[in-house]
Amino acid sequence: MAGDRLSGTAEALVNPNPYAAPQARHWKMLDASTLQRDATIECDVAIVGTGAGGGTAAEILARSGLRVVMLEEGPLKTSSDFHMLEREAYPNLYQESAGRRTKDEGIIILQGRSVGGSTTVNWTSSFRTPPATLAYWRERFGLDTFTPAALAPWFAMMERRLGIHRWEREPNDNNDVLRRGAARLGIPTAVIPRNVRGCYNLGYCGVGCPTNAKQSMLVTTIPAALAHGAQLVSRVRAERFVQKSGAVAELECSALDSAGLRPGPYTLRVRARAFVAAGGAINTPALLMRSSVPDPHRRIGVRTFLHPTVISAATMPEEVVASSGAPQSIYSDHFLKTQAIDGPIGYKLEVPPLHPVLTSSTFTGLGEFAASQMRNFNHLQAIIALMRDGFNEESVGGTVGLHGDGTPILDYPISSFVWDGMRRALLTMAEIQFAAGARTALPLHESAVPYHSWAEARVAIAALPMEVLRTRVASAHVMGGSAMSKDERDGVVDQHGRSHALENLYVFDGSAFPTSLGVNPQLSIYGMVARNASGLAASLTGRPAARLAERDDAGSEMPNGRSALIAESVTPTVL
Amino acid sequence: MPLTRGRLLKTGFAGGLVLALAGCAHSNGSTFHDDAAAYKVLDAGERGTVAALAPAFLAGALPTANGAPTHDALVAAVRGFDTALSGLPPVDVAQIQKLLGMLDNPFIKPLATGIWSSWSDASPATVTAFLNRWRFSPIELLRGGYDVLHQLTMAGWYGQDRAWQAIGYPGPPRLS
Repeated sequence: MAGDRLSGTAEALVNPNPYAAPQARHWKMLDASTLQRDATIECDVAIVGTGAGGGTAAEILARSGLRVVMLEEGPLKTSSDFHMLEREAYPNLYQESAGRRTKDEGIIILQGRSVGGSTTVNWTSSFRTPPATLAYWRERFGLDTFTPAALAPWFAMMERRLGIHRWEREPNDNNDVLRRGAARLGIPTAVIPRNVRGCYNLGYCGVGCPTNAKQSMLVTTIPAALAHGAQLVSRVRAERFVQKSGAVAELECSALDSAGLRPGPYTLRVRARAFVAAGGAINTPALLMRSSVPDPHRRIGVRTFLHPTVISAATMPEEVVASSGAPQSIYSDHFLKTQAIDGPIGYKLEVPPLHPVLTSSTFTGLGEFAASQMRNFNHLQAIIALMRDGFNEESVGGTVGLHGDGTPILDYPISSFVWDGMRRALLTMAEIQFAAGARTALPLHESAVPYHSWAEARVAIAALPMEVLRTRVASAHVMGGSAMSKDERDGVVDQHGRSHALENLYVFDGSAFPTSLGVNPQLSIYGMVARNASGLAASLTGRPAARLAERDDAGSEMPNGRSALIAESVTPTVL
Repeated sequence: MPLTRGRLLKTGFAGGLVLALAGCAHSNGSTFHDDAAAYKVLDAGERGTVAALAPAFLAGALPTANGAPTHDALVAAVRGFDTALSGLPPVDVAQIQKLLGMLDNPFIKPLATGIWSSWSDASPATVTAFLNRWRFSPIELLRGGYDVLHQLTMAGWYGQDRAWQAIGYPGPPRLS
């Protein structure tokens, strides 16, 4: 079995698994599916979600001396479990087994769901929030503290903390096609900064980094928070905030069953001074909706953005082996800059890694058509174009709703304004692929076939019906739905992430963005949350918040036992 | 107007008839048999339907003998579908099971698929033609049904080591 692969000398070469270290035995970690009765936890700050937002907040708050409890719906899986197998990773590490879709089934959404959230499975691209995006937020949403200069120290702190640096190795051939083809067309590209230390350049970031090189929350901030006495509860679903007198009194959670998919019989209650929602866009607005957080202007769940993404696949004459090597190392923002930010929709160009499940289920067609694409597997190359949604009145994003069982569903109709950008992007990508020497280019669209020249592709793409469930559309970036705003009529939280409605409720995740970003979101979340969690820590302790250093000192910390699990059945009282 | 899988079942071709009849009868008379204990979700009827669809989705990918997928390969494809399905949230599993139930219902299946024979008597070309009708349908909810079945079938097959040799994927690298 693949587990053997990390044995022997290889184990010594990779970054150690922090959860296998001796001191981890003292960490307070609970798999809620093992609970045998109801339980109550008391702490200073309860954090729902352990992704980019929850993880960053946890370390800052715990280092600042606060008793922190982290709650994660997914399981705790670590490098010991990461066998670089899609069939294991998707059910264990992704929302809805990597099959989350929008309401009309038209957009496939890749979002993480394990300790570390999407940072455990993302492709490591790390960009600061673009100045043009921040300027739009200041003008349209009154977010006057979101200036590049004000955020720079927070981005810098998180870049140091997570080892973010421009990738110094050669791009893999999949990325190099984007670089080469774009260069021949005079389209500038650049090298992507990545959050890695000692990267093996394997190409399996999306299924859990087996060497702990990726500086995800799983191996950085969460172990550091645990070393500072925080408690981690996995396989627990935050059901609702219980309100009293304009504040949250407690958080009611369901312990999940052993498969981690359904609520089991036991309830976990968390009582805290402050509550942080950091379950990611879609899940955070859904939690606020289940909690009936006052929303007089109906802002919860609306304006949810996806960077809806279209894909062009090429067959190259040479082997590409797009399953191997750092998945994303080259990008182009050229088509974000060719028109005004609120003009016709712009798009960012990147490439995706190609692994068998992701490729076969995303590629179009069936039977021999599909099989012949897959037989080309090692010659396949793909470019993706991410639409920068949310900057125009014809791009208002999607709306989160709830199923009967309380789980969320995102309704995201794609407007003709967005389809227009998608068609332009399919043209751009095919042209780049032919410029790089592609034998064929295949836009992922049910009516498309592999085209053999740019001239042929240009005519054919111009005629493709751009409609839902004909054009393949995917998303790995979910943003908005609990937006920041200065005026409470325009959003859900203020610039500090604090709820406009409940005084001790905070949103520290990508759902707080008022638009999409135009870049992969993780560093934008880290920077915003580092600042806002530091503000929360200072307000709760009366002292400046702890700063995060380059490396965590989890290895040298002793547990201090500050958070207490009271494992007893309690009656559902409101404090 | 966007229609969800739930709406598909409530407002589709046969309206209330669907709900009245779904689950009342099975039509496929499938010849597909496998150990029930190997499945987390699919019942015998659903397995038969998936076994009828998989050779069309995976034509050219499933190993064949005498022009038909080998029993081993078909079992692996159906089990793979079950595995992929079992990781979805309960609300989605239930809806996909309703979709499969509709495809196995003697009253609804002919209307929905244009296939009047049992699944086991339907030729691969007939099944492919039905899938392409849904794939290119002007009705969004049929395209959605097609796409969900496509995704689960492909993911279920290509997640398995046995699918990799044919595409030249060596499997994950060894870290030593």
